[in-house]
Amino acid sequence: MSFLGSLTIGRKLTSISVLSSVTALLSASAAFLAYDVHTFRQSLTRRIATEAEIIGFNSASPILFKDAEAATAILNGLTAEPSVRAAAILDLGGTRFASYSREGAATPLAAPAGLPLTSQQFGPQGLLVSVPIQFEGRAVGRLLINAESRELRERQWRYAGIVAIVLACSFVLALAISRVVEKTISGPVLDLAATARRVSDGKDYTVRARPAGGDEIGALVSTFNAMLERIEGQNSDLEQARTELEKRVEARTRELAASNKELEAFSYSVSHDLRAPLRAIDGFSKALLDHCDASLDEKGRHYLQRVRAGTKRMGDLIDDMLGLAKISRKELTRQRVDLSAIAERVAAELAGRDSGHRLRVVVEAGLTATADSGLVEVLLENLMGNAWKFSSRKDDPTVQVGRVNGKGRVFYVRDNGAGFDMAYADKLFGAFQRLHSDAEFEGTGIGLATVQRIVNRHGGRVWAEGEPGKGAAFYFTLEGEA
Amino acid sequence: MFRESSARRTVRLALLLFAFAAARLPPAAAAGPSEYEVKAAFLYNFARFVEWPLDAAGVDGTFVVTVLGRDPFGSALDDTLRGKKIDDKRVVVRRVSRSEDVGRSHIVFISDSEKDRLPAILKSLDAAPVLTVGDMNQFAERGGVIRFKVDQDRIRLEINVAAAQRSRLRISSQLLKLARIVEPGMGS
Repeated sequence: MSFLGSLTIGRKLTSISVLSSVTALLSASAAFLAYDVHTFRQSLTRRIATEAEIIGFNSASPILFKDAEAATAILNGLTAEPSVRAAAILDLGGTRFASYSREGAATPLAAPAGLPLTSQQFGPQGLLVSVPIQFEGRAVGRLLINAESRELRERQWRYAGIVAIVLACSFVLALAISRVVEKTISGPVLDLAATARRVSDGKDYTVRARPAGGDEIGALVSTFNAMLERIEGQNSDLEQARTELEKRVEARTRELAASNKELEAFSYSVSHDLRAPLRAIDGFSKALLDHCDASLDEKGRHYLQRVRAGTKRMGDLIDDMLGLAKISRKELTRQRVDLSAIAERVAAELAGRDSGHRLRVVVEAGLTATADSGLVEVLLENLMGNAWKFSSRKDDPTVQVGRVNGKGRVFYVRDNGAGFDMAYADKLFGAFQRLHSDAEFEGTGIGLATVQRIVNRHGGRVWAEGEPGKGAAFYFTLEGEA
Repeated sequence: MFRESSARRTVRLALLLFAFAAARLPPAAAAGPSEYEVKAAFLYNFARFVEWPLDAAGVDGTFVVTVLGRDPFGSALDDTLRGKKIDDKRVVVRRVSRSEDVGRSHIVFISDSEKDRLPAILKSLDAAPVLTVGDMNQFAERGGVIRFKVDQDRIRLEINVAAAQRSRLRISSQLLKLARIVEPGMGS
């Protein structure tokens, strides 16, 4: 029934009812026809056999007295039997003694080879009956009668006509009945389907299918409606929860933004305001060194030097914090950025600072990204500066800048310096978090926080891999990972 | 001596005539049965289509076919009827030259040689249950029961039903339908 697959239920019902009625009718007709053919053949055979019996009886004396004329006259009596096409009287040797054929059309009848003396069989020519012509219990000849079942054929045609008419009538009737049935069965189903389509297309859960009767389809419709109701209820709950959540998020965001701004303003102003007293301390320390050098002993001079170093370090810290704050506040303008060029520039600057000229910087060519060029420069300054710093104690400090696998959007800055223990990897990027003492490597602990801030503002990711004494690698992306 | 030589001449003439007659036989005769072979078979068939009254039954359980006069059958009649039985009776063929010698016969074939004596013969057989058969002209009309009539190489039958009834013979309709029914005294 796969050919029915794409039809509507109504069409299916119609097809099934028409098909089954036609099948039933056809098989019934076939059975009747077969039975009719059988009984007709039987009656024809009986009739012809009786006829043959009579003619055979009458033909004995013409054969015995070799009177072909009389035999022919007897055979001509068959004119009264219209189904007989031809007949012949043969002597025992098979020679035709007398013959008869209706309308004189048929070729003279002959016995097929091996035909038993008494036989009745249907062949392509119709019924062929052979009876022995007996006299005093002995066969003296044979009578052959060929009866055509033209009448049968006519009956069959008539029958076929009747079957065709009845078939057409029942076809129409089945069609009409199935139309009515369709309304009661496929109507509700189609309505249900339309409702389901409206729901799935329009996301409209307020519609309801028209209630159907108390049968399975009715149950389906009411279940469907109940389901719609539940979905609608859940939907409105969900909607409510969502609006509430949104409102809450919005409020929190506002609060957060406000406090963030406050904090930023606070730290900026603190940093800024801290500078003035710091400058005073540094300035007067210097003045003290310059003007009162003579009155100071070595110890006093040393303490003043320590004061100055402390103020310088604090100044650096304040600068870095201001820088970090600036990075946070600066507006991001993305454009095509040549990372390779920036890295080369930074490398040149590092080489200028490196008095020993030992640093080797390897920058992969053609590194580009869509990013804020100013921030990227700050990023590379920090990462490459770090790399230089932590590898400076090596004999052959090397810094590499490149892309993972030579392509893609993951960049890295790698050095062969001090490295770090992976156990502390998550502490690297916190502000003022330092893994090395200031005596080992100087620094403020703001650099990697700055790096993280820049990467975060680009929607990217930064992470580090390292091993103590073997160097570190910092990976970063500048675009959201799709 | 003279009688002897005359007799020898007669024999020689007869042989000549016989040879002549033999020579004139149509070649087809060799293939199909001759006229008298057919007539002999017909005689046998008559016996099967005719019923004799019970008192005609042969005392000694034989069915007697008698040829009266010059026998035209030659060996055909004996050949045809040899070993045959009618109603479980052995068929016996007799040849007589006088009607007084016919005796108790079922069928009497009256030869063409007896045509002048026919009325007397029939009169002597009158009312006896005997089927008279002949092939002479007007045989049936003159009171015989069945006549063989050769017509265009075919042997047709003429039956005098009245004569048969007088001899108390019942002839089957199957036989009658093949024959021309002849009324006594028809023709000249």
